[in-house]
Amino acid sequence: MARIAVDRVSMAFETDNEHRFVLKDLSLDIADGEFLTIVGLSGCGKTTLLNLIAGLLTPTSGAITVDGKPVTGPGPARAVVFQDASLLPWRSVLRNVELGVEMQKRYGKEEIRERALAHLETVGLPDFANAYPHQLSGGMRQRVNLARALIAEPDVLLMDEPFAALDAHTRESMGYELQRIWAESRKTVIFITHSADEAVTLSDRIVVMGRPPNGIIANLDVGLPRPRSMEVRGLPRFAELSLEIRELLSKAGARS
Amino acid sequence: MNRRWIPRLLGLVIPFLAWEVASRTGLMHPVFLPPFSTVLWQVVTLPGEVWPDFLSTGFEIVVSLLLTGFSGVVIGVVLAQSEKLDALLGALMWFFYAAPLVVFTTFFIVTLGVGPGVPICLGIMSGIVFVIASTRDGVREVGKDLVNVGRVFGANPLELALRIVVPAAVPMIMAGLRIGVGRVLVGVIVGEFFASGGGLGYLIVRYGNELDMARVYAAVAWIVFTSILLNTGFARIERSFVTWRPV
Amino acid sequence: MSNKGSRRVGRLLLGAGGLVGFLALWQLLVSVGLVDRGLIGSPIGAYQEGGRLFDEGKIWADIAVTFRTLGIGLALSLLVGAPLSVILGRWRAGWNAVELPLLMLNATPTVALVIPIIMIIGIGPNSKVALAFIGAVIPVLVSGRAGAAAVPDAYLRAARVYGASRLDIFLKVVLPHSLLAVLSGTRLGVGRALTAVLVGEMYATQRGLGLWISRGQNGMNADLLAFITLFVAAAGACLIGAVNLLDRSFAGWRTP
Repeated sequence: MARIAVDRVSMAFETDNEHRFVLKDLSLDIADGEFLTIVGLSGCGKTTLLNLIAGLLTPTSGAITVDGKPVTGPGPARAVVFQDASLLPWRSVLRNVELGVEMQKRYGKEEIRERALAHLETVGLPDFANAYPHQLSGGMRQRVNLARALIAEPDVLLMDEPFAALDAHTRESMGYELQRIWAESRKTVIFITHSADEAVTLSDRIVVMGRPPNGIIANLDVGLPRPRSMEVRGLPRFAELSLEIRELLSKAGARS
Repeated sequence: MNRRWIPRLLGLVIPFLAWEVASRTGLMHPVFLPPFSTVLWQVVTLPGEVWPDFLSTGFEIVVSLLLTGFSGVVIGVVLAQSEKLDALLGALMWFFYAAPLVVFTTFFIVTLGVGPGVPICLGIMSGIVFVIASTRDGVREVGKDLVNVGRVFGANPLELALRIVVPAAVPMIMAGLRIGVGRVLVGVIVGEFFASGGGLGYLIVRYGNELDMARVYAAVAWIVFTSILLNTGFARIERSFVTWRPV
Repeated sequence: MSNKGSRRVGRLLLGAGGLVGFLALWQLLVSVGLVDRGLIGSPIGAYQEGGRLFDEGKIWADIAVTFRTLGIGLALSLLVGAPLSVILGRWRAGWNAVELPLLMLNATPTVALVIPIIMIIGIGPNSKVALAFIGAVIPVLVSGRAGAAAVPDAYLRAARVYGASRLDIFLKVVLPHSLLAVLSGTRLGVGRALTAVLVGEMYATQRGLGLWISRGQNGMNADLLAFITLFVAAAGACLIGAVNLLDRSFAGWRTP
């Protein structure tokens, strides 16, 4: 359904009349239904890569295709879950979720409302439809963010450090929740995080990015059984992978 | 750089040019709106003509600010000590904050008589609430940690207040003064307006009665300069304290 | 929650006690003879004078005049200020042109403009409407402009991802964000407008509450002066309180 191909993509930003490459000739393939996590240090270009796939940015060179069709801008097949503060504070939770589809003119008003309510149910917030974002906890806000992404029924879910602002406990349980939702819908997911443990817990495959513009420095298959719960953290394979990622990151950080 | 300065320059030049033209052509009555060039000349000469009024406004502002700062800090520190006392005086303070302060002018004229006392009192009344509130919050924020540090080193309550609590709250106190300074100025001007016999606010009324509008605008201009000077000055002082603001 | 609520009620009761205590202390000082009643009046005397004033019904017309002036001035300042602040927020050159004059006006105490405005427009009600307008429109413009210029990037990106056109972004993101800022500018503006109207009425008018305040100097008795002072102060405080309450109910939206 949604195979993503990133083909020799470069991205440069202009600073003080010179090009600074954040990504250089980066290639990456993501299989249909795969849960891929990108781990990297701050400023390694992982968010840029995500924004390129979302169509919010246009690459300096190279191409990105989804199911063979080139990405030229944002589209309903790709939804993004942002970090904390992207819910519109003057809209109720329900109206924020509706934002995910209301501008695409795919459904009528009634149907949009029904779908929004259904998706609030999916993320476990059916009773908060009329609340406003500032009345919710950080974890609940990210559930709304997720529902807003899901309502468009995208084939691809792009998640930019969605749980970074949450406390450790909420963060972990949101991870398992995401896994459950993903297992039911089998969307292709690209997930960005700083946390090695979060990456190993959630993904099928992990890509580690180094300093810009080095791009991808490792490509790791997780290979842990699903569905995963807290116990997964006790497995030797988990510890081994997590350590490997940490070592890669600290080496990349030291090489400056 | 250039691109920003062209509209800025036009934004200043066009209104003043339109003013000049409107007055010279008689579109606006030149008695009520004298030409801008005339007013500009008065702005330059006014301080030489009526320097005692400049001095008395300056004096009133300084006294008002000093008293506002001092009594505001004292009351703020006291209110920070007791939640109950704070609640007891809270509504009263809020009342004086929200009420339009001009309503107290006549009261002050009757009780204090015409003179610099009225503008000074109105200035204090206008600005003090901000200093009280931010001192109170600042002192509360200093909190038990810092106070305990002092206790461990054997400070008595007075030393504690003078050496730890108030200095640590200084950034917040300055923030209160910065917000309050604009209101202090308004209070002083309103006071001079109705009851002082001197000062820039009084000049506006006097020249207004004489229909000497060029001097009215000149006095208004000097009040605007003062306001900008006070605001930017206090903003700068506040910023210099922020560097060691407690986190 | 209920604990918090009961503490709130306790604070309010103490606050009311403080107000009553203030009046009681005043009355006591006058009754004992420590302060001259002929100078500052007494609360009981003020109450009796107020009752007489309302029975005679003379003051109603003046209350109406002041608040109607204020209302028209505020309505005009919103009508002009709200759209203009959005335009200035999105149009750089326009803002650069008016920035310095506007900041100068913002630093100008509105009372300083009372005499010029009355001279130019006349001593009739229009000059007081103009004063209210000037007092309110400047904070509306300054704050609304800042709101329109600083729409958080996260909101804009979210809207774009879900297919917002330029018009959608303006109507659903920029406009609501600006209007919230306009509201908080209005909060400041109401106070300035009220002061400007009262000073205008005190300086030159035949009607309005300002006239009653200035009458005190011309042989009004101390009790009546005390009543007018307290009454107008309370009316102003109630107005500011109402606007604050309205603004606070929106404040949560601004800072999610």
